[in-house]
Amino acid sequence: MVVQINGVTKRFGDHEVLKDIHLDIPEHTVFGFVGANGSGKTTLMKCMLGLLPLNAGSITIAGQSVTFGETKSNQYVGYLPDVPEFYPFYTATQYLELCAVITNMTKTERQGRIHELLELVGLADTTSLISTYSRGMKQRLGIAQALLNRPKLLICDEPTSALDPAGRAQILSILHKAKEETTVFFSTHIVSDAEQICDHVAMLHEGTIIFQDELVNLKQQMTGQFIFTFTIPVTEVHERLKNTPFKVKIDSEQLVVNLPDESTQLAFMQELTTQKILIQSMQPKTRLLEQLVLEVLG
Amino acid sequence: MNQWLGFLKKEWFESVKTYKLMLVVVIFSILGILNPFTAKITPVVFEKFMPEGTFVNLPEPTALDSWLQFYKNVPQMGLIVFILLFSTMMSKELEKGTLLILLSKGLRRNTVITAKFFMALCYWTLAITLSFTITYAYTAYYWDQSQLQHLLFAASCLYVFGILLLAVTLWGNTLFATPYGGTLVTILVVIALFIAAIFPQSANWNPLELLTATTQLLTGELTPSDLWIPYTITLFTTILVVWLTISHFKRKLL
Repeated sequence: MVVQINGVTKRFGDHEVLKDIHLDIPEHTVFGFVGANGSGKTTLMKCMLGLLPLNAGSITIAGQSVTFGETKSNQYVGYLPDVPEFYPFYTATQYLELCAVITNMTKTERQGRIHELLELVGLADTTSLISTYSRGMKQRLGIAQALLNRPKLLICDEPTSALDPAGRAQILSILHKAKEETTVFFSTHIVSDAEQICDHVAMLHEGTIIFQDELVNLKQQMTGQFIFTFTIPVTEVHERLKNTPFKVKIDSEQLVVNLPDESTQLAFMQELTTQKILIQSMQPKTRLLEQLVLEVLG
Repeated sequence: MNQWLGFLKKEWFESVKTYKLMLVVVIFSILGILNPFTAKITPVVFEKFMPEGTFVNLPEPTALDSWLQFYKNVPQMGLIVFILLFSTMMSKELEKGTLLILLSKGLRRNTVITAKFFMALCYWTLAITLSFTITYAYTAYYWDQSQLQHLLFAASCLYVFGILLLAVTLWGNTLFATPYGGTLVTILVVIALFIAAIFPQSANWNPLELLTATTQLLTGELTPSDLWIPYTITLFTTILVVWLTISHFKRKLL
């Protein structure tokens, strides 16, 4: 695990923003951190960066314990704030050079890496000052600086929230590519963004982690339902199967069958064979993450 | 060290791009020229504006008058403008959040404070050197300066007092993280020093003595050894304030 968060609690005065948070982030994954605005996502990220002190618990990044006000663990981290602010009098290359010096990158490594990252984020041909950049360009430069020192963990706070659809798609694509060399931990309140690129998802609600798992599991495990299409009309199949022990129903011209375990699945296949019904397609019924979030929130 | 120099380079670049260098050079050059010029022109102006027939017996200006102008103009105008120029050293970064990314990349917090203070110190050194050199050269052109005592030490008193105010401004600016925080704290500290100066005993330690004793230094009524206590106290207080600023910034929530 590249990140281990154990029992983290954070209070601002009497207001408890994070309540006994436990979170493990596996290496080389895209970990989506979903939650409504004000749920405590940014607070947890700032705690992970040592920018805020904890009231209880501990955070370890790449085996290094995070300490408030110290920067040792930050050598493994790249961070993109929700509204990244840069020095407006620099160009993208100049700003990345400053970041490279701060991360103690060698001169020989610097030039190649900066060029490579500017290519990745599509700013290689931009020579203007940062003061002239659009929001999307700033976000892309933010990702470039965060990836500069090949961090083991890339923390992105709401990287897509204020972008247009094209900008969002660009950022999501860059984050997906970044998975090859790092672990991406990004927060969002746009559930579909998390759904597009995440391997793992955790949801924070009122300071508590409500669920965390692989996205595939979250989509499938809860239902145990399968969707079938056949070579004959679905109404005819429904008619022929309604007196069997299987729970079947028609949904959008498809047959939805409840098959919670392997033996039931085999039995259903046998029934189809017996009745000589030919399958055209079969797939597990998945729920959109958004549905799951809404269900959890009640 | 690389990190410190890298951040210092950024401070330098920023100060040039935001016209601080130009402003400091222009303002302190003008002050440098203004000191001997004011001393030279004052009797002429007096004569011109007096009612006709009035006889004014003004003594001929001397090098001392030029330097008195220096110790009036540089602290009263120069230092105030200088403090205002550097009064947003930290608050601008804290308000905008530009430091957040660099700190998350491993930039040490003490590097931020010491580099910012060092850059302001360099600018103050440039300002005083420029103003002093121009005043010295221009005064030498008109008058003989050989009678003046402790010229360099007197300038160093002003320089050291300015460093203390810079440290106080940086501390206030870090503490309140607003553009006016630093200036307000500096004003309050100066007022406190003036209040303390009401009591004659405070002359033994009050940093303000470094500003008020310059005339007596130039005339030889005081020697550098008479000021060693306030001089040392000012230097130590500066170091203490910078240390306090670092310590405060290390605990600051960002």
